[in-house]
Amino acid sequence: MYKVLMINVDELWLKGKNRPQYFRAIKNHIETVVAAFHPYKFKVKNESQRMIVRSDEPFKEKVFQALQRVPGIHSFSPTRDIELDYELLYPSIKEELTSWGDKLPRTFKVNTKRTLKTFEKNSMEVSREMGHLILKDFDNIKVDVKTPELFVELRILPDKFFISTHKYMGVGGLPVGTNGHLVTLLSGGFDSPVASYMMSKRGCRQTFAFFYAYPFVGEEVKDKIIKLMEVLATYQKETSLYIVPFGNIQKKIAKSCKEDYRTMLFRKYMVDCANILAGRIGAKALLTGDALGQVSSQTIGNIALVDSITSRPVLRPLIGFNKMETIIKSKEIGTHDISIIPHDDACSLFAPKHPVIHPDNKYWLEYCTNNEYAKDLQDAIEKAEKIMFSVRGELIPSKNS
Amino acid sequence: MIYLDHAASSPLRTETIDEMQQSLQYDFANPSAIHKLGKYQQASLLKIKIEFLKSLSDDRSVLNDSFIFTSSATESNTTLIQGLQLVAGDVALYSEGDHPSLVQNIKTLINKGVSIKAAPLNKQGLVDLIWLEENMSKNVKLCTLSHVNNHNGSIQNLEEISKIIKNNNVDCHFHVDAVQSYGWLDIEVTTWNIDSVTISGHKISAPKGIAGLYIKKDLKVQPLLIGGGHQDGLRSSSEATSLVKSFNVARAEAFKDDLAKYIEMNIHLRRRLKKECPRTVFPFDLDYTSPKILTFYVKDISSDILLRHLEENEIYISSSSACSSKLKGASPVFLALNIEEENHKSILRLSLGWTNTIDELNKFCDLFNEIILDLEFLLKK
Repeated sequence: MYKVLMINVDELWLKGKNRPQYFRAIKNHIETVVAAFHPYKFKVKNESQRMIVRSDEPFKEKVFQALQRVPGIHSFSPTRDIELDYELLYPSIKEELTSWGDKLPRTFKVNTKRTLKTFEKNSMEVSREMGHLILKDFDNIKVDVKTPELFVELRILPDKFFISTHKYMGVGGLPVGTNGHLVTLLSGGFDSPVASYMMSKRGCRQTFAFFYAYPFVGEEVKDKIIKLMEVLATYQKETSLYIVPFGNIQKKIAKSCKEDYRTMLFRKYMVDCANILAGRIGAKALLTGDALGQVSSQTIGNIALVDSITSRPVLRPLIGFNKMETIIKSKEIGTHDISIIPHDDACSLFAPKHPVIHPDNKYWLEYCTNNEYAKDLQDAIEKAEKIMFSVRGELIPSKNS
Repeated sequence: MIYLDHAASSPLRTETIDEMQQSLQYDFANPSAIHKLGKYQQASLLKIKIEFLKSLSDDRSVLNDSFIFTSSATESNTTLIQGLQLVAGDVALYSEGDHPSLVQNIKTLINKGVSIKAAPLNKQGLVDLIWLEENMSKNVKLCTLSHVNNHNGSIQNLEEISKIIKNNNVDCHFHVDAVQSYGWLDIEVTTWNIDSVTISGHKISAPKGIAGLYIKKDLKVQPLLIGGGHQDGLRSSSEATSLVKSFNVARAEAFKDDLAKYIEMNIHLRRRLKKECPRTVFPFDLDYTSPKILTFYVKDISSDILLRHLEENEIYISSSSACSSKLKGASPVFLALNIEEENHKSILRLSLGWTNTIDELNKFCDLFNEIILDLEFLLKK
């Protein structure tokens, strides 16, 4: 059936001299994704700013689903390719439309584009003739040239006809890896997975850090994070998760600071730890799911406090999101049903009755300077369990185990 | 490592492992084969079956009854409860405090039109005998109960309960789950008039995958597994000779175990914990419970958190709760055992077995107290 995929890229046309680099990145990502779901030979070619994937075997739905998650893809069409013989064109169009079954829309328009300018008929003629034949064969369908529900896209190439009627929308944005490398602070809630998605589609490669509060929380939290990763990894091109042991650091903090500063200090040391990891893997910035004012640790004062101590910028793509907007997004990207799984949360276990909203700078500085957390944090990163995820969203077994 | 979770599964003794290993090597033939290799195994299986029957009663007539080997206590309970084929209008009595392989099986009977009634338990987890007397109508066809409760160790007085059942309705089938009592607490199926008993291998240091079901002579039980008619037609499947042999060795060893040791250990644990960690609560008295099972909680401290702190130090106990998350968590079992809902999330179960020593228990107490002190900051003032 569909042995060709025509892929439209999203923002790459905005790029000037860097364009080849962006195209290389998206081509490479497409190759990785197709190879992961299509166990046959195929080729990806950049043809006039469009990616064309060809194989001798038809592409299946799984490939389409995976490509919809590749950042930088605007949209794509599974395409039939047939011999350049005008007699064969309509039968194939008919077959394509019949495959819609009951779902065939009510209005259509035929769009023809001719690369082969010497073809016996011009685009208008082909569109008109094919449209006419469609109307004859299919009862419940009308032509609508202004706002058709269905586009029958035809392309006349030097050696082939291309026919496509399906169009899948991608996530758009920029190819992964073209906009730097981030450390994403991931938790089991709604926000951080959505934040990760937002920056995946802005072309950021991500390495994930989960602060694991064992023994205050159990394996089930870790399992939940891995489930989230299985989704988030499909928007990345092979990524890894660091499970950073943090329970005993949190305990140490909770026992030694003023109760109302607990949450803020957890945050500070998580950011410090993420910065250490970023340094080791060469990441340029951190990523969190903060939304302004959502909880006490995300007030403007506390965000400013975190920003004053971090050595790398903290990206907060959800800063202006309402909770509902985040939840809706989480449904779209496939993390919602995992985020709602109940789990024990160490932060709420340790949560102070009245978390600090206007932190006292003097106390903060005093606490943050007179301690030995630096070594604890280094140790935590050292002991972190690293799990790799493939573009299929599956765990890649480590070579040591 | 200090292993204090014997009621969940008990480590194997060397004798049991040796027996298993030998049998795995030599008993490779099919026990139903008509050649010598098969017949030899059949003979051992029969001998072992007799040993198990004898362990359930001193009365020789027990040898006329049936005993089959199954794969698990859950299989035994399922075979019995489903196999009695109760019909619409029948009544089954059970306890909500019991193991799910009893409770959930009984609950499936509702679909057949059987009415089920849960016997209330008193503060010590014992069945309310007056309620039982009042509810033993002619329609009651099945009564299931654990000899020793797996969560809190309550010991039911089977002799007395059986009398109430049989005096009121001689046709009522009395099924006992003796998984937590077998091997250290006497059971007398003949004189106490018990119709069927489930026992399990891995609670008495046999491997997992082997259990037993005793059924009184002439009782009709429809088998779960249909096929070649093994084990008197009650369970088709080639007998797992090696597992049965190791189960038998484990049984013999279990009966040699010294009960006084567990009573001493239990008293010692209660005394030390109560004294050094006064927040510890023991909802059940030793007088009414198995000395091998100790249920307790530290108010307002989650059992899971304690469990993981102990686990970090290679000490293993159980929180008795299948539900991992404490977000909304009333446990029907603990409700039946009359534990206040607010404490369900804090319940711990420590269970003793042949590997344990007083020295280990002291180490446990030292560490436990240390952890409780360490976690005091979590308690909301």
